[in-house]
Amino acid sequence: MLFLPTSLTAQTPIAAPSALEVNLAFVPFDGYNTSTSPSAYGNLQNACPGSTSVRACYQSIFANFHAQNVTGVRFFFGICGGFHSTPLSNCGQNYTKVTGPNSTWTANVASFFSDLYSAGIRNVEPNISHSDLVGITAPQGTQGVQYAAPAAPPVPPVCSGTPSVVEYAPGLPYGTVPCTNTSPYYCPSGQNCAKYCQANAGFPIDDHYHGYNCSPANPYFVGWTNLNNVVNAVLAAAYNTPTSGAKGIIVDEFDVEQELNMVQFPVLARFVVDNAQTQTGNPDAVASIRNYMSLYHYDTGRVAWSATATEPNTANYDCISVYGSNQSARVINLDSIFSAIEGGFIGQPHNDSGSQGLFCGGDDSTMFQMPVPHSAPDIADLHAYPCIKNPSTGYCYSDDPDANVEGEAKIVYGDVLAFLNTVNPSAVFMVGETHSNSNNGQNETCEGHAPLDAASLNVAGYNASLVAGHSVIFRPWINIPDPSDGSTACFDPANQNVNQNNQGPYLPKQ
Amino acid sequence: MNLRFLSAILLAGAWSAIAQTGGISGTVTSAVDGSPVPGATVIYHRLVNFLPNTGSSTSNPQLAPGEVYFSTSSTTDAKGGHSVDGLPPGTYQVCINSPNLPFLDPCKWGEAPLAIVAPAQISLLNIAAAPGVYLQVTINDVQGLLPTSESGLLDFPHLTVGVYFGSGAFLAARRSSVGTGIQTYSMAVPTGVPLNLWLISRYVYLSDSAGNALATNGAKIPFTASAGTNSAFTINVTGSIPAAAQAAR
Repeated sequence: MLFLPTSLTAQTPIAAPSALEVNLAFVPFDGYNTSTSPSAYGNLQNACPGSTSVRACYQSIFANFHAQNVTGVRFFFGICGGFHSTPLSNCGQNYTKVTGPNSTWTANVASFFSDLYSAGIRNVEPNISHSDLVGITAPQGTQGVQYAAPAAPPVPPVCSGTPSVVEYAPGLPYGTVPCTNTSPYYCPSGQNCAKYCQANAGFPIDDHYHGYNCSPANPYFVGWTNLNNVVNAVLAAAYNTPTSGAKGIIVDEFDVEQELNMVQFPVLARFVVDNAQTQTGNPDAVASIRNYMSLYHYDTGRVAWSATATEPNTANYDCISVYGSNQSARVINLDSIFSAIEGGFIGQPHNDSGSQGLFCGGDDSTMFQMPVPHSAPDIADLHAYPCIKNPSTGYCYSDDPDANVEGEAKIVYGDVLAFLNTVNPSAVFMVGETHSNSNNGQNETCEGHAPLDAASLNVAGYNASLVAGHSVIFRPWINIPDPSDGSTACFDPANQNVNQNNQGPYLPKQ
Repeated sequence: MNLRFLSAILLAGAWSAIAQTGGISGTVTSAVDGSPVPGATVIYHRLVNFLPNTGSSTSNPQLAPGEVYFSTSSTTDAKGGHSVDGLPPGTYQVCINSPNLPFLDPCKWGEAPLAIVAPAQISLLNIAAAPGVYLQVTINDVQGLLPTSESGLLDFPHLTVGVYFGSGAFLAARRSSVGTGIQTYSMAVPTGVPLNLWLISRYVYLSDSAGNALATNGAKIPFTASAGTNSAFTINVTGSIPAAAQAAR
């Protein structure tokens, strides 16, 4: 079923070589079958009117995207029940008691891949959801666990400002700040503490320089062996679609944990090489997941951690980061991720200027060097919603020229070229999340309240940027079951519109 | 515009800026005998609060209203005195880096001292630094297989030298000198506690001073430093790892 917009205007293609994929966000794998109604998952039913099952719903969505020349999808999967995905059992207990992945979940993932294959969509990018940062209920391990500080150095020191109570989620290799915490470091005096605590619940303990060492280990972590068993099951299901060993589904990126911000939170580098839960399995996530990719003959260089672009407060502003005289602070998170993988420096630079919301300049004197070097990935995944944000709302300005979408896109994508040329010129550039082509009914997009023409301006900015002509995949963000904007209009299938009738705005060209 | 009026505005602005900042002052001394630690870099780093997640799918935290990143440093004088002013009010993490004496940075080996800075006030912060000894690692690279410099942070190290300690903490050593066929790494380490020297390279094979090959996926060499005596190791570079094997790591 196609949902055509009321008017179509031919768009300029994305500069070749380019491909188009989409983000599906969370997929409810526990109920991915023909007997579960989409109404079991709230707004999912609104994304596929008339579908009688979750599986039929996704089949209709896949057909819609395939008709738009979409060749791949990224999807999240929870590991302990987050958004109805439960491959592991006994989460919250000691890792030795955790079991899985269960066969029903694995079979449902295989069905999902089979449906993609049948629809003609062959590329997938699985993304483990280790935590729940977007308001979807996920079972927590044990909340409010008292953390006993080490008696004396030299053991890993306690992070500065560590609260007396730390909250642990089973998928995270570190502790997080609980909502009930009223420490001045996390809930400013005179502010709405409940509001701040809710937001900060997902953030790890804040210690820009030493979080990797000083953040406490998670005694309720599910364990790397159990996580790797889930990874293995996903890759095996892809490899065995449509038949055993057919490799009909290509895993062209495995996003181990999305949007690692190791500039502000170096403890997140434990997702790359863990130093605190080493007894729970191979703590070198790069090596172990690359090994699994190799087992199924997928490109080992496509094991990745995505990064967000940083937008300045002022239109057209840019500056150089600590990572080099040709490296923009707009893409410092990409620099940091490749550094973490390749045994380089992460963390916040010392004496950076903090100019216009960017980490400009500074030196590495207090930055942290990772212990294990690996080769560079073959993919650079940057999440970019180019725009200038309204400081009073934290969202994009909803109209140009205030939002300056095209100008911001031209700059940030251009900045990626210098990054690629330095770290791996042959790496694919994945615009892993970006403006959708949606309408929340109030003349703004459903993600970030950007101008309605943000998607087409985004492409125009890319085509005008220095990186145009590099191999690129555009993958707009479309959260089908739970749009970021709760407006009724955002659930409408018409918002699953990235390239209707090959009229753009995301029109790929080889 | 009336220049007298403009001057008044500028003065008011300057006074406002001064009144809104504070400072930190105190000493850095030996935790053992109270002797001063001169020539140490004292780093002041302001901790920040973040805005709530706005619901957009990007997770870069935004600073809360009125928050600002700020870091600066000072150098201790002959009496170990340190002081800094012009700091935006807030809570500061304070670290020390003693390049000439083997004192341990409390931010890395202990719990970082904190100082609360209030407007127009100087906070007192005396730091008792724990003395250690130097770990000195000499790399014999007679074939010159290792680069002698890096062009920037994205020119990643071809050799990682550091220390594992406690329950998984890791600290890398910085290269302290480069000569013909020889490089040295050094760092201050605590005494009397078990440590592990860590060496790993994707590019070259390594052996210890007795000629025993070190594991290519990283070697841990246990040691315990003694007070008053630097811990010295000699490591040899024995050959290049083939390019295909480098890429596979």
